[in-house]
Amino acid sequence: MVRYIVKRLLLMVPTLVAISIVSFTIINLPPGDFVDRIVAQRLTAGEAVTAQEAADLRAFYGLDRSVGEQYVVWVSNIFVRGDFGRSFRWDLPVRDLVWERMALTLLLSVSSLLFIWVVAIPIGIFSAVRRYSLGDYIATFLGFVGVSIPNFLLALVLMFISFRYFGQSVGGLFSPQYINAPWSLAKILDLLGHLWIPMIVLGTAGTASLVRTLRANLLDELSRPYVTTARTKGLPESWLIVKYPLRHALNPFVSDLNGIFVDLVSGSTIVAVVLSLQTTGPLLLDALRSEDMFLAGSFIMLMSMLAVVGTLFSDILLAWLDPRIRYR
Amino acid sequence: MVTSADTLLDIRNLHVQFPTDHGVVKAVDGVDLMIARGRTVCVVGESGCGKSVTARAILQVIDAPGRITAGSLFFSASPETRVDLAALPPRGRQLRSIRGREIAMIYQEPMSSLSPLYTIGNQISEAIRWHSPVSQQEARQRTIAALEQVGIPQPQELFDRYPFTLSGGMRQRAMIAMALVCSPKLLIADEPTTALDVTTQANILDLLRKLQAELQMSLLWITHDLGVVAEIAHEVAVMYLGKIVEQGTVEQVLHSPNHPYTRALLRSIPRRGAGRLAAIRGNVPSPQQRPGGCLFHTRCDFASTGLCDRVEPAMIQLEDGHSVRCLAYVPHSPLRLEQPPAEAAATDPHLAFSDLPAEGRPVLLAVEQLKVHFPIQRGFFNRTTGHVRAVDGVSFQIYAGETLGLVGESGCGKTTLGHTLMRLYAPTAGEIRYYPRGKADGDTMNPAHLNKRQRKQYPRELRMIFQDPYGSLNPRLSILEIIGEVLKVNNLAQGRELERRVRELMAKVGLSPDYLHRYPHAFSGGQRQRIGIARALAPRPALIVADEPVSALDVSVQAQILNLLKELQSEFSLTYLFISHDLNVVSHISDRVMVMYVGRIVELAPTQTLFQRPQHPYTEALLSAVLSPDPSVRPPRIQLEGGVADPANPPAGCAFHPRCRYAQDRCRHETPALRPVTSVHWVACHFAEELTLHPMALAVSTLQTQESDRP
Repeated sequence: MVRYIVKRLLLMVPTLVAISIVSFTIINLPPGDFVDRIVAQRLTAGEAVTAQEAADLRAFYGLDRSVGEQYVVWVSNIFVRGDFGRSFRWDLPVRDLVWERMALTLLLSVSSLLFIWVVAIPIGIFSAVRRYSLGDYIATFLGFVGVSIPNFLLALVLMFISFRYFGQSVGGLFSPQYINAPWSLAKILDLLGHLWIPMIVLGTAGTASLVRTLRANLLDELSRPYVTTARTKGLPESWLIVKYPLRHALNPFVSDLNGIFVDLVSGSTIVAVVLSLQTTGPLLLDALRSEDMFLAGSFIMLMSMLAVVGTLFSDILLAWLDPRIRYR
Repeated sequence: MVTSADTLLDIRNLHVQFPTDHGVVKAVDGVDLMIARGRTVCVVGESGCGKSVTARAILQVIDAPGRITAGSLFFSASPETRVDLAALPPRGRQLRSIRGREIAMIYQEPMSSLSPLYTIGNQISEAIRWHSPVSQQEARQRTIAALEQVGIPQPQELFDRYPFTLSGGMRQRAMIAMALVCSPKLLIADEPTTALDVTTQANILDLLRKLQAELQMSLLWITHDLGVVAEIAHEVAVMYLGKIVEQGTVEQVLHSPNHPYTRALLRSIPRRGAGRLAAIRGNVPSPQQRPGGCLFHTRCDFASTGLCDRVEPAMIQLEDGHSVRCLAYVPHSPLRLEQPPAEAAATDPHLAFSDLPAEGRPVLLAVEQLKVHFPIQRGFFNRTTGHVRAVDGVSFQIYAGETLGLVGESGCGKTTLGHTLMRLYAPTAGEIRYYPRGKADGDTMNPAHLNKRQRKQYPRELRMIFQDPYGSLNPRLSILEIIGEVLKVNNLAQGRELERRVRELMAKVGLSPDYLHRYPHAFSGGQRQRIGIARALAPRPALIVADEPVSALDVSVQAQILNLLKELQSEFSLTYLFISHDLNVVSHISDRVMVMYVGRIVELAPTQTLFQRPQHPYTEALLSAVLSPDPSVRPPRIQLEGGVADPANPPAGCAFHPRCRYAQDRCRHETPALRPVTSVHWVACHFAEELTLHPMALAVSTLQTQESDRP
């Protein structure tokens, strides 16, 4: 197992290098750079910009160097000082902008994931074991509804409900008075009070599809000979279902886990905009629109890294779940 | 007759039904069966006859939606107690405490019956811990003891291993250990040896017989193999479509079979020297279409219209314990079970053994020093760390018009050799030469270096029939497309001509051309294998490589397919390379037989010679593992210990020496070459001339003559 993990960690290195190159390249693809935008802005404001001024600005931001040099500087700063560069638009270090949002995003992702598991696994088992029962039909119906409702619509409905019936401030992850306040117990409680709407919104579709997947997987497994074998050993039904077929049925789901993870981080932009959440999605969108190259590049890189780490996490979980993978 | 105190399980009037969209399936329809303490009862019949369902009903582990609809299962753990298992709720505490502890079960597929996610030890010891309050340590001790009891060499080490790291035979031993760990009174075995090699099967049978005597346990054994029945049974029940049609002691049923179905089953066993096998007509009808009257009348050679299709026979007691469900045994019955006219065809001269010595014929295919090695890749950069020597220096010739049998345990390289001839693998070294019109003609093809014309011609001349009739047909193509595709890609026919050719081929293999537009799922296993044969036949090949073509089929269907292959051979002058692990089948169909062990040929001889005077100890051991369906023939068995040697790392010298009972010092150092001992008999053993080896014991022919003493 240790060997396996070490091997996987080593294999991550080239992947990460490739990711950083690709992120940097993507950022440099659109024509024009940040200085071009400043020049354009100043021109619309009626200020004239000389070519010398523009060149000075480029030199200041290091944009006059070759692409290769810019890349090396960017990457070495990240590794040596954890410095992702400066956001041109916000005029702040990328580091300061990103980390809090990343942390909130991670919190939201993990809580949504837990929500999905806690809700979907018991319903999935029930649906499979009591196939074609009333409960199964209800779960199936709700599952299809959950998959088909667009997330932003669900967000709007839940916002309305929470405002109308719970009198809560709408949107965001904090009440207005806490947004710029330092961290305190009250702030944490406030966060938890706000967290449930995005958690449900982001988790619903995942829950619904996991119920369906788990039901289908489990139905395949329930008729396997090893389940009958366990039954003929005299094991109680509930114990044997959890020990044998469920563990098998989780296998394809765990290998898909990193996909869910990435989706939660990057796919929730619309919901985050609707709910005005201080997560990564809206900031990335903004950075891309304003060609804020270091911010956007860092984001893309961090998210890709998250995907790599997520894959590693799901692979390790899979190796624990299924010994056949360890022995390959 | 057993007295009630000796009765362990008394099955009375058991009915199991499966409600489906197409009506109720009566899988078990009134079965009465008694199992006495310490005895072995075998239930035999073809697939779809309700054997397994009967076995599963005892512990109420029938697959959904099946359920027991009537009948009782009286189980007496001790002579004083009696519980009706059928009356207990299937998920209740009481039945759970009987499962695994009083009655245990083992299944056919040792791989899928053990979960790959838990260690062997975990899965065995949990059975103990659910039934008795023992510590984890004690459960471990008892598990290791059970593993030792079933003959596993290092039980301590095996405890912590996962099932997928073990060979089939080891897994089945672990399954048996799991079943026996709580010392059950009754062990139900559902085809536990069917998926195993003959040699492993023989070892498992010996083991279970020994354990049964030691533990004073009763066995209910489900099988389709009459050889296994003769080997292990005290009493036999023959089942057909959910009913027992004949019942008695093993001698009564196998020596003097009374029911036409039992007789037909015995006759359809392939054997040496027989011409055409007496197959049973058709297939087991689907349970939705159970015939009226006697269930067997649609396939019975003696059925009398107006009687058998109207009157349902009851079970008739003949003599002590022997009973039969056939109208011929009713007092004053007009029905006579005489030799059927079909038997006359057995002496058809065209189908009998060809007397022409194979060597007199032209050589069709020559293989010289063929090696097929597969690299083993490990580590970070997939470095090649070794080679699996699947085929390791094989030379032989196939003569036009002969059937060359190829036998050996699984993992001996049989299939790799067949696939290499088909160009599915490229040879690592050595040569294959194919002579389309005989060696003398001069036109040769080397499948490794074919020119443009030959690349089209070679795949037409060599065709393959596969083992799995389900997996080898694309379920999304109709029969016309499956067979027609071969003609189309080879530009042999198109449009109307194509359809005409396909119809003709279907008729040749005994399928109704009306099925032209049906899809594979509409056919039974035997019919699918006929489709596979038609596909192989389509471009008029010269050589067909048949890789275990009948091992997935029931005995009666197997006989039909073997007959078909023989007919087609004489009609189209085909040559077969027939790969099989079943020596009965090989002895029946082959002119010459080649025995492989770990990538090498160890013996090659005409069939008669090989079976009567084997000269390699491996051949002798294989022959001794063949089960005879005659309970009075019990030849001394040669136990082959361990498994087939690892072809990636074969033992030095003769690869067989670690398992050979005649091995001497020389065998450990010097690899024996394949050399002729007579002009037609080749052996790779240093001591071929000195050893006197046992031939295959056979007494099937005696069964044939005893059949007509009955009415």
